[in-house]
Amino acid sequence: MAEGCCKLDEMKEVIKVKNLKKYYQVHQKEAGLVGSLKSLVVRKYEDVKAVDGVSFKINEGELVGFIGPNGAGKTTTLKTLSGLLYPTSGEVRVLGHDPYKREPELQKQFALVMGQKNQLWWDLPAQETFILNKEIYEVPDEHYQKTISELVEMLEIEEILKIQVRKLSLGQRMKCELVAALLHSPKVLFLDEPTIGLDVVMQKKMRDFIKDYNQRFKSTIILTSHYMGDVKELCERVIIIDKGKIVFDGQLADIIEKYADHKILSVVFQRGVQKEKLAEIGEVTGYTYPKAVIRVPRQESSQRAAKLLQNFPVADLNIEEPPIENIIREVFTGKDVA
Amino acid sequence: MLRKYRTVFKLSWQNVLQYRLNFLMGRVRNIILLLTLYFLWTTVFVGPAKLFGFTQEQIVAYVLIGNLFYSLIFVHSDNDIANAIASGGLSLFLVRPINYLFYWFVRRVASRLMHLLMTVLETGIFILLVRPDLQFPTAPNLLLALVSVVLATALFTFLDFSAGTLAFWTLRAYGPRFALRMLMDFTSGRMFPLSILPQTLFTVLNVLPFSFLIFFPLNLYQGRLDSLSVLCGFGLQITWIGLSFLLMRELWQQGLRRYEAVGG
Repeated sequence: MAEGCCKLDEMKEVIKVKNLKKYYQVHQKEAGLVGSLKSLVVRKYEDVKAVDGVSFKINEGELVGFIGPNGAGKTTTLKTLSGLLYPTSGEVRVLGHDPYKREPELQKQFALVMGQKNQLWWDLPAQETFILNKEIYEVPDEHYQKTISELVEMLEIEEILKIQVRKLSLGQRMKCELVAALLHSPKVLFLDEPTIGLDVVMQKKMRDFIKDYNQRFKSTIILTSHYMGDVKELCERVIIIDKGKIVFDGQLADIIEKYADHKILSVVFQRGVQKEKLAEIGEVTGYTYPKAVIRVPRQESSQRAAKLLQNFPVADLNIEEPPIENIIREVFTGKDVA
Repeated sequence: MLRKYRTVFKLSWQNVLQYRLNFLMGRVRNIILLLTLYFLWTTVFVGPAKLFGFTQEQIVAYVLIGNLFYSLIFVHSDNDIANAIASGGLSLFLVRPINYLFYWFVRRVASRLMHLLMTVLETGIFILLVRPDLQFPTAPNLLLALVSVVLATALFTFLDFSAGTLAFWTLRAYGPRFALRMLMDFTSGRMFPLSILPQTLFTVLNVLPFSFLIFFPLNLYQGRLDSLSVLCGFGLQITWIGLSFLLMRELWQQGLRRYEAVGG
């Protein structure tokens, strides 16, 4: 919807979530056959706090990444935003609507794509599902023609449109799923693990497409993924969820500032050195001659580097930020948090 | 608004045609069943001229027309609905502006028309092979039977959808769906006229909804009922339609609430 977009300086709030809670009741079964029999008669239920007091706002045109370990509450949040789940408490607004009411006016303005579920008709070519979605969303003919040729070109799927879906590869199918979901030009797009199971090349293509789509149509996108690569490449803003709570919401770059208490010295030596002596500089996390990787406290990184240069036969030295994957892993495991 | 369901209808036809062999084998199975029933009954009739109040011609007509009705009415969606619920595929329907149950209803109307074409063909082949003495109904009887078949289709749909909807509570609803299928196949009057059963059982089955799927429309077709029975029959059939609709709606709404609570 290129024409529906507004000036950058008057950012419109598209999604608002305030103190969202979603608790599930899960029944507990004791181990073994006896436990199974017992659970037939009496079932113990326990509350699982899938989402526990989450708040955030997302403006028009933002591309936000949701990250967190399995069961952190990412998908639950996304499902609540799509109207599939009824919140236990809290407020959820998408384009001013309450998604849980499942009003067609809202449904025509967003789309949900789940990497592990498909809406395409398995035994028919993808273009048949496109036509069905055109009718379901009541997309006018002209608009449909324009959108589909644009999407087909962006994703390069011209040749596979007439092939039965079940004969397509996972990557090709995922591309078609995206087209099916985007035909009605949704203003808001929820992507749940869109690159799951894809090979590296296809992952890259997907990312390029999502980025391109976001920029071209100024649509608001929330993306969940296990792959840091997706988030690193696509999202300026990330929301990290763990155990149902938001542990970080902000620029990706700020995660490093906030959580990394160390830097990485990566060194190439001119000749062999004693590994034990290197321990004076910092924690040696890898040493295969002629290369070594040393972890040093963030504040002292320059001094430690100077010391290294003075006392060792250094051929090359780099001071690096730790990889973001590692930082996030540390955030989740709860250690080394600054 | 209706255009979306018209498209669903068209795609359903295309979908059936994709599986030509599968489809044909299904029909072959039907012909075999038809022949089995035919030979079974003609064997039974070797001695007596009349059995359970049926002449041989009447029973052959019963089986033949019963088969035609069965093909039209018994088109299941319970499996598809149960799978969508169990796999979470239902989610992708719920976020789109489309009514999921109506979607399946439309898809099955499409399959039914396809079945009608095929069954007419099969029945034709059967008639050519066996040359049975067919009993043609009077125009009013035919009309009553057709109305009843349409009603039976509605009744079947609501029961079938209800069974599928149980997957919200129990894994893919295997148990209840299997039980319902057995009940419907054996007590609808599809295999044999229910009147051959012991009186008590027959009376009970006559009041249950299943006999209104095949047995009642067939009785109308063969003109076996007096005016009072016709009236009562339609009354009961419509009552069951109303009740099964309410059951389906209640299960669906409660089920959705559960789906929303535990996620799919």
